[in-house]
Amino acid sequence: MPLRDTFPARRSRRGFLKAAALGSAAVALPPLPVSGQERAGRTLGAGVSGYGRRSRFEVATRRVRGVRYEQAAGSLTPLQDLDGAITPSALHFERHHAGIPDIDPAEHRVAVDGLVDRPLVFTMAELRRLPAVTRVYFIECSGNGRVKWSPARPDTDAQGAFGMTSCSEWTGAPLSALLREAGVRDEARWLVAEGADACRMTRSVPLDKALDDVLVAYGQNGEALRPAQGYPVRLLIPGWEGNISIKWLRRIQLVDRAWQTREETSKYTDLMPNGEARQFTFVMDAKSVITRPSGGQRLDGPGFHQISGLAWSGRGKVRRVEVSTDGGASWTEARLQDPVLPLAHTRFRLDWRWDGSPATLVSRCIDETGDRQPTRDALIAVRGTRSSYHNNALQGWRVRSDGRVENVDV
Amino acid sequence: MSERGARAALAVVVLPVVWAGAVAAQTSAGGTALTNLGSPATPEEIADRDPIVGPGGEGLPAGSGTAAEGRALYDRRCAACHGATGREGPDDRLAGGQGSLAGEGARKTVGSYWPAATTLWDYVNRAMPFNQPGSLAPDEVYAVVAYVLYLNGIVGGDDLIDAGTLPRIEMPNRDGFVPDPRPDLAEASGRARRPPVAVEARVAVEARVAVEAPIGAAAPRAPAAPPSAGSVLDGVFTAAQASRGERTFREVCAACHDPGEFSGGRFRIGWVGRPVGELFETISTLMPEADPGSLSRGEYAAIVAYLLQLNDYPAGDADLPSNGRALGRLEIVARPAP
Repeated sequence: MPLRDTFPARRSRRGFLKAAALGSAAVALPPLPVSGQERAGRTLGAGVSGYGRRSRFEVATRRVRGVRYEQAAGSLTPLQDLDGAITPSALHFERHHAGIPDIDPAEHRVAVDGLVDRPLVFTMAELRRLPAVTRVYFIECSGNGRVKWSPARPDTDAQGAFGMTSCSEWTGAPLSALLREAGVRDEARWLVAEGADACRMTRSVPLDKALDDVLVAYGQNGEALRPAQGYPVRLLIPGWEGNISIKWLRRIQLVDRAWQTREETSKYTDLMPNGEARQFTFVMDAKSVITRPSGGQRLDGPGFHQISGLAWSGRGKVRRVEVSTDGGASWTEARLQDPVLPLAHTRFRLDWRWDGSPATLVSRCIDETGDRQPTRDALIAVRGTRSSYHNNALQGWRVRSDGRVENVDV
Repeated sequence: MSERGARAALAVVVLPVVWAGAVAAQTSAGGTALTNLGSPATPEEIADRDPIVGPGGEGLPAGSGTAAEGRALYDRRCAACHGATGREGPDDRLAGGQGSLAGEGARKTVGSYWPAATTLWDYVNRAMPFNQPGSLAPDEVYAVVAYVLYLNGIVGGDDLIDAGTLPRIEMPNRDGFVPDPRPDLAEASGRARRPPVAVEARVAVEARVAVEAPIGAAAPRAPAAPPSAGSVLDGVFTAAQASRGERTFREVCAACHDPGEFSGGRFRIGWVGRPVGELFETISTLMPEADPGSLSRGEYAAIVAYLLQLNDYPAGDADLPSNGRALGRLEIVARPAP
């Protein structure tokens, strides 16, 4: 019987941290055999396999938000459990509106029609023959961080508040290459992209962005896209709200103006206090979150701790991340992990010696355009609390004297 | 066309020389195919796909329906999730809420929020009912759309909804949407320049002229200009402001523009006789091309100050304001011959 069946994972990483904080006696590892520490009587480990899987001791998982329908739901990336800048494909956040279609790539087609000289249909094999590029980009739902429109609840953690952003290495053909094959007519200004999911998700995309850096992506972190991320092919619209990066791409129709689809009118528009709504608010603003220490974790005593987190901006590279341990009264520049890539998650770190007294940790992202994260108060003063999307307010974590970390407003 | 729209259009016409290069760079992806990959799609193949209905009714198929016809269908296929009258839920509310959008009690429904009736047809056709999307025939979609509009008091019970009438329906909130005004927070105003994130300038122009002013704009306001604004001969900017403008010009504009495009004869032909406000408006609305409107108002005012200095207008004691109304009364006049 395989070991993984004998010893099902049953403790969360957070539970592990808490247990560790109580001392080694409380760290109840599963019964032997656990390889690596024995002095004698060592047994052989597992053999090779066709497709790898993580250690049975690793339990970080996406968290599904409470919803009525699992096919129109979201799951959140466990940011607090990640290292580095790349999100493992299996932990990339999900947001579907009509479930994940089960698509045979041999049967799949992407049509380019509308205001083009030559309406075309591409097979997956043809898409893969187009000149390809590989880029690292984040995808963030524009609703990520929406809990911050409400006063902070102490038990909110990084995953719950910010888990709708993920960062992958994507491979595909530039959308401009497909458009060139089809020949865009002069009167075209936008395109409508349509997915092959049951609800045929559609969004309008301005042509200039389409011709700039948009990918028709089929690769994610070195292998094919995961079905949840659009297998076999999706749009990848860097730096813009995730919903517009249409998954399971089946059609691109060139049009002369925005098509006013449901997702760009009823949803993904930002209602302001005066009753007007902002439309086509595509770009994701500068944002950051400390992931360690963060909500729900517990520091196991005063002394050295490295503060670590993620920063990103839809406007370009992260220029600087500043960290405060006193709720924003003073700031220290954190180290950025190379390479700092535009429109990608950037890992930041700051060494910290905790004296055991209460502290409030905050991070602040400044991007290469000079955009910086606002306080929650400043954001709400302009936009009110009903706009749902694009909340990039500063995030605070309160470290209590017992080491527990809670969510706070700063 | 609004006055603002007319001015923006005029500016585009008047400044062809300046933007000739930029426009050339926007040439579409038309032209020759590089790889000849992809197979020609036949009209039949295209027509066979579901329509993606546009705001002018593009893609709407033949067929029709009335609210009276749609009522039974709604009760059978929609009411379980959206409520007997579209107000009860448990899922998205479809009716009511008109006039509620300002303030904390906002209720976003088809009637109170959606700007176009065509969106409703397109969405019902492609995505509803949730558990059986794509199962309604065109006549059924027209009928249930008519009924949802009827629940909102937008059409009568016997109004015939079809490809001709649907796009002409004026939704209550059709004018309730404005373009993205970000950056809109004073705190986020420390920016230098934007990398090209490629919002298409042409699109941005069309969108921007549709609004009078960005809502909630929190950009710092300069003090209002004196009542009798006079002309640019009066020393209307400071040397320090012009040098700030020159720096921004180098950082942001110089990638595409040479200062020579904005001085001497070209400037005289384009701008003498027009208010400074129009120059400010043109630059702040259309530039930088890759991300129009992305600088702060103060930065745009400084660039205008720099352009005035380039044309040998005198500096004075006060900064050029970034208040469009004050600038509107300030005229660009010819310099007297030396």
